[in-house]
Amino acid sequence: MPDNLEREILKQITRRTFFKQVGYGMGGLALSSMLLESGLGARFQAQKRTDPLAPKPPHFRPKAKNIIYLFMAGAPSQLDMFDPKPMLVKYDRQECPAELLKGERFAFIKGTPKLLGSPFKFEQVGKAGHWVSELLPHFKEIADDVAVIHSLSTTQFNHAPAQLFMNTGFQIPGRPSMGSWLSYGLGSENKDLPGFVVLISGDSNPDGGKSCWSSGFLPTTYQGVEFRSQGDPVLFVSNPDGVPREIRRDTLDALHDLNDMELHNTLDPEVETRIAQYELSYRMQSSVPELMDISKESAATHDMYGTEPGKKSFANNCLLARRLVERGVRFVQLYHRGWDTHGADQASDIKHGLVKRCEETDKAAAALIKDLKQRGLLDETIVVWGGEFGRTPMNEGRGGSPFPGRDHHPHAFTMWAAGGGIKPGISFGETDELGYTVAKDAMDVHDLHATMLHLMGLDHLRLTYAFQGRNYRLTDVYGNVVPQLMS
Amino acid sequence: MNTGRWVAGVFAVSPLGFLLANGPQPPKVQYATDVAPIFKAHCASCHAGKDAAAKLDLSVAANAIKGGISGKTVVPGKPEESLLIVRITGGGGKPQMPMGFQPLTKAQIDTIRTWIEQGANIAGADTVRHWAYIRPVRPSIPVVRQAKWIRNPIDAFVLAKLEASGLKPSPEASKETLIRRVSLDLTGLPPSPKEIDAFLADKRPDAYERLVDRLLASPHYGERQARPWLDLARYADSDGYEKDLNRTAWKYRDWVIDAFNRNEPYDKFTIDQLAGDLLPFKGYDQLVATGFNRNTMMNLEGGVDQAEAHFNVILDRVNTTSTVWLGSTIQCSRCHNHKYDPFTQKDYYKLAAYFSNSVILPRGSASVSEEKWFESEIPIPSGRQVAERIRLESEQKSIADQIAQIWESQTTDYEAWEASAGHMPAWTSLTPTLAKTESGAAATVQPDRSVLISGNNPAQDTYTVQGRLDLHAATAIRLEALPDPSLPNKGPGRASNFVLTGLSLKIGGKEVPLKDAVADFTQEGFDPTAPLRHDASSGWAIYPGNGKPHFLVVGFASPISNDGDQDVEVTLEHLSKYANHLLGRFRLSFTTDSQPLRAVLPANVQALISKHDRTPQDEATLKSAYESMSPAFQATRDRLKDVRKKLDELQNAIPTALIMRDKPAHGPLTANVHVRGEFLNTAEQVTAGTPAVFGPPDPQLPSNRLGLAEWIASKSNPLTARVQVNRIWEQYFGRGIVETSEDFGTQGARPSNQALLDWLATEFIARNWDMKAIHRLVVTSATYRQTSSATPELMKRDPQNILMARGPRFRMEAEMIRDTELAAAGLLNLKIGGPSVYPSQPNGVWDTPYNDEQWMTSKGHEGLRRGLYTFWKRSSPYPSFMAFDATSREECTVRRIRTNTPLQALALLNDQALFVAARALGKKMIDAGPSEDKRLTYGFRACTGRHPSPKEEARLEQLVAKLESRYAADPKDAKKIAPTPAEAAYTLAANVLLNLDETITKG
Repeated sequence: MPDNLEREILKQITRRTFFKQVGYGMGGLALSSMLLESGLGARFQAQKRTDPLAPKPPHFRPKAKNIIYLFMAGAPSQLDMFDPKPMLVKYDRQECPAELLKGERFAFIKGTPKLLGSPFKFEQVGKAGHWVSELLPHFKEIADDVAVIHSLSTTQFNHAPAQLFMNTGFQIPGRPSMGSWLSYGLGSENKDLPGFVVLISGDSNPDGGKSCWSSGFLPTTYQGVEFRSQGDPVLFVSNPDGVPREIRRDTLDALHDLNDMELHNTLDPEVETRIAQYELSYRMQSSVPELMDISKESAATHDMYGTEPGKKSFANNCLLARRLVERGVRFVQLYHRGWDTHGADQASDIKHGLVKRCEETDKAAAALIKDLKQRGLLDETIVVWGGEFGRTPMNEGRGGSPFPGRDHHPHAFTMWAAGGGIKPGISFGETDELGYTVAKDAMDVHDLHATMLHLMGLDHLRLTYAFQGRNYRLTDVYGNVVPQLMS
Repeated sequence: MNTGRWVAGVFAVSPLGFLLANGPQPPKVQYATDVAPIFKAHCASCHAGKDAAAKLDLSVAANAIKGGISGKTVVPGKPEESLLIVRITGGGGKPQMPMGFQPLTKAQIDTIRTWIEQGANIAGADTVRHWAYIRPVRPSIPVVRQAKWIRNPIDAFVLAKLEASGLKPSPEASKETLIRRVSLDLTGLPPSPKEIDAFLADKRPDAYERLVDRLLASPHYGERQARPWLDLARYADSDGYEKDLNRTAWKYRDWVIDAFNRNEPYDKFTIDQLAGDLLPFKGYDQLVATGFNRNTMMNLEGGVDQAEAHFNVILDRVNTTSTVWLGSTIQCSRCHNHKYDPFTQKDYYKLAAYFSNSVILPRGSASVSEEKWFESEIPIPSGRQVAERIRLESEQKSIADQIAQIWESQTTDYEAWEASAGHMPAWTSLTPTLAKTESGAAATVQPDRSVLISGNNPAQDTYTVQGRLDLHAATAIRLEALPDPSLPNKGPGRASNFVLTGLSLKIGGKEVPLKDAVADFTQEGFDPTAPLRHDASSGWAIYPGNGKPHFLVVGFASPISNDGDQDVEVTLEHLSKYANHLLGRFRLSFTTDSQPLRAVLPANVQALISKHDRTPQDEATLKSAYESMSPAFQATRDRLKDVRKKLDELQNAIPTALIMRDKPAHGPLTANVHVRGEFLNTAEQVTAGTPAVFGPPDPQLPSNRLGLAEWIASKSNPLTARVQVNRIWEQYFGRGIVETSEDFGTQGARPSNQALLDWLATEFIARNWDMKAIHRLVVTSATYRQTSSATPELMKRDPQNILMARGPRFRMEAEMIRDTELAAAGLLNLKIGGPSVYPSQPNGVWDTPYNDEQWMTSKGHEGLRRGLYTFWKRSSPYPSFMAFDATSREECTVRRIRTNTPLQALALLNDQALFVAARALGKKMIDAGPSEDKRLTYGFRACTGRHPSPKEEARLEQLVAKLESRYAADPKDAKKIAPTPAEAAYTLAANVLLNLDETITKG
């Protein structure tokens, strides 16, 4: 039932007229007494709702407060990193069994493809004996904190739809992303920063574009805000040249007073909200640059992550992610693009392109877990790592390319998660001998979403929003919480 | 609330927007109209449908009676024994229902109690047709007490509700407020101070009506009306999804503006957009209008299944059409029968069948999943462009005549050419003594003197080859690109294809000037002479001729004589943006031939030269080859080239439009039902048809998309008129009469004033769908003309202003904010129509994978066009618009949500695209007069349309004084803003004025 209340609150908020009841306690209007009388108002006040992003109670006791989602856009090759298949090595470059190809749609593979054994050495690490290849030398440092899931599958086999599916539970743009759902459901713990922050490294934006962190039909208040590594970290956060902070203060004081006069003329509570938002924007002008400045982090920290202040890198973003959750930002999502190792050329093959991506991410991802742990944040922060689908056990050989590469594979792939109530040091799910299909403990994208929401204290069936005639959920009409993943 | 009244409109609206039924001695309580709405509003979020809590489903009458796991809900005739009453009154030692919410009101509980007392009758409950599916009946105009307030029938309907609630309308707004409100509403632009003064001075009784008529006739009216329509039509300038390539779609946008300005009747407006292509052809306009359907996103990502992509396109058309015209959520039946509204899954695919007959042409190579399907796109030239084309074509013709004349004197020369043309230059291959690459990739000399590159494969590379020239003279160098099994798809490039961007040659240590170049084959869009100019933006490339050998011959500016063996050094650059497009295997040769470029006679011409029995066609081919080489034709050739270039340019300048075009239909149009809406999971076939709930359509209507359009636009459709007048209402009052303007179904909000809605709908139809007439009715009503200032009493009684006891007041939409800011500063460029523009935005916002399209910031005046013309990139919409709740236009949006966030404050304060307005306005304020009073009044009026109060003016004076002293103390900062500290101070004062809530609010 809380979701219904949320919806009602939201309706009032976005309808602007009821803002007084969720206002900032400025001015004195007859409205507040009326709202108190209304009961609904009393509930708002009791729950200290100050704005749509104010913290809201979860459905039940949460295990985690924050999520850091390391989205490996382009889809990493699970068969070369986490899921070794001796059969593939044995039958390397031999034709793929026909029964696997029946009725199958591939993005790029034509004709009968050949199997491709991984050229990399694997070893077992940690108490659970996670298999990991030589591409990820740092993974062993966090092996006992991590649950590795080998049995994920998705319905989408192209990047944009699959990234949208992984982020919004639906393959066509227009639905809210997971971070938006969480902001909507739980609000934000930090008043001076957005509740949902996106950080990007690699070549460019992910294939799904900004729709990956869109609020869809939820109010734009809940959309992910991209913190950029060049220019203003948050768009328009800097004053124009020649407007120092004290002058900005002078102008905001005048604006405050003039808007206040308007408020008294019109009694429009929306004016009051606007006054408050201008004050918040002023606070953001100092909180955002302070957040983005990693230069004061210790040398040991920089060493551990491999960070260099001012650089656009996955490592810097990992460190920023820690700083964000430290400040109560609910959902931080990192995109690192370039995992699309088809092998159409050397740069995109598994012996070069994949190696490079692993080098860019392995150390920093491990550092993030270690750092969160030493600061006592790992218990309340879920870190998730993964792409939008997996890669085929077969070589793609696009246009006769001699470079080893794998096509898109939706049927089985690996992700890992740690912290925030995730059972540490376990391996979950298995794939068949060729890594083609899930053999045990199948889990789909909706299950992942349901489980993450659950750890955050939200019932995925109850986190709903009415839009165009029906109640929508992140998990659409699917999804099961996976208890085996939770401690 | 007066509980003694039981009026025809059973529902009064509480401050919370819930519907209450009440009355001391009510007549028989009806389940469908009295009880079900209470369940729906307060219980259905948990107790409805398959997953209902405690298995109690209150959304269906029979299930409501049956109860859930706790047993039967009601005991007919005995309310106090009924579990339902026990739980909603908090009895039974269990939490009161609705759990976690405020309890039902006494009136609501009484209604339910009475219903049980009267036998808990549900007869016919679930078969009562929902109001929206019944054709509106024209209501009679209510009789009201305060009749003199009424200006037109709208007011009577509004006042009847107010009087029933014991409320009075607010006084009329001031003239200053009215002109600003109505100008913004009708044209999207604030009135200029001059227009305000003229209106204030106009003392005629109908001054306001005259103003309205002027605004309705303004060409900016169409722009204003187009803005929300373009959200409905999900109009954008790019495809969406991953590739998100740009598309040329603005002709459709201009059609919409023009159609509103022409006041095209709404039925025709509808039919043109849905099926203009199927009407008898009268002009291109009717085709451009069908761009409505083509505004769907299109997924062109590499490995996409094109049939599936097209399936999604068709479904988007069904969803959009039903949302826009029927206000119905038919899209819910993509996967299953609609849970609440009377639409079946079959209905859904019957609609899809109407859209399933597009002409679709594949383009691109199927071999690497690059084949894509495209629907129709046609050029739409302007009159001037047609004239220019005719002129150029006639010039082309006259050059052809001249060529014919020149031929008369060419017989001998032609025969001589023919005799010598068979002779090919002799080439001597260079023996490389050294071959190296900048990247360190291996360059190995092969036995055939070619060089093979392997190993490291960088994005770009430059090769150097040294050797000795064994000839005594040289006139040209030849570069052969050769296939090799080690290369992708045999090469000859390392990406199979390659792009050579630079070629230079040193002989004896001296740079050899190069003159011209020809190749046996060049990829479209590339240029074999580009390497001579070291032009990395072009280059010599050979796709789709890869996998085969090719050559490039480069002529020297003058022949080189070689007195002995000399060192040769050739440099080959690959600096294109296309990564890894490097030569894989190549060979270099030289010739002494005096006409080396002849070497590239096309193979077919070479063959003809040695052929004996030539056909007339062969002769013509040879002659045209001669024409292309002989100096005698140089002048005409150049002119012809010039004319052709101009024709090409003209062709490129002619805008195109995306249109609908159907294949000829044989028999009825069909589509398959898709189980759970899944593309691969098809079931029975259905034929095109309208949803069954509306009854069979007029059999006279065609059974194609045109028939669908005419059915939608018919006067008997119960929804079309209501949905549109409701949107018009929403535009003015910030909320529709049906608040859920996208959903008139059972899950949508009930109309707050159904009589008013139905009167407007029937009026719309009676006036032959005249849109301007409805707009005029609304803005000339007394309801619209009320002041928007609230009283504490009103805020208490009706905080959301549902009853309309005061005028509308709400924040403007994104585009209107931009227009208002620029207009206040006198910067706005009012040009109408044309290609979309790129107003300035922060660097790095537009960053798409794979393509290198740039945000080409429009220069000067073009960057100051109205917001409507901003290039709409779906994956990266204009950031300051997004801050103000614009949408990415990925799908149809009926209502934009209005938020109020700190990011809006930051955008309005600091966005350079808007700070220019502060600069310009600051300057204008100073120019307005010497006194502070004049300056501040000018600025204040420019932003809000009214004079400042003394208090407001005093506060602004205080600000300016403070800013002036600050900037005087720090002239360096001032200089960054304006030439003088005073101007800098006024710029910041203008920045404040442009940020006032009032400036961005329509009140």
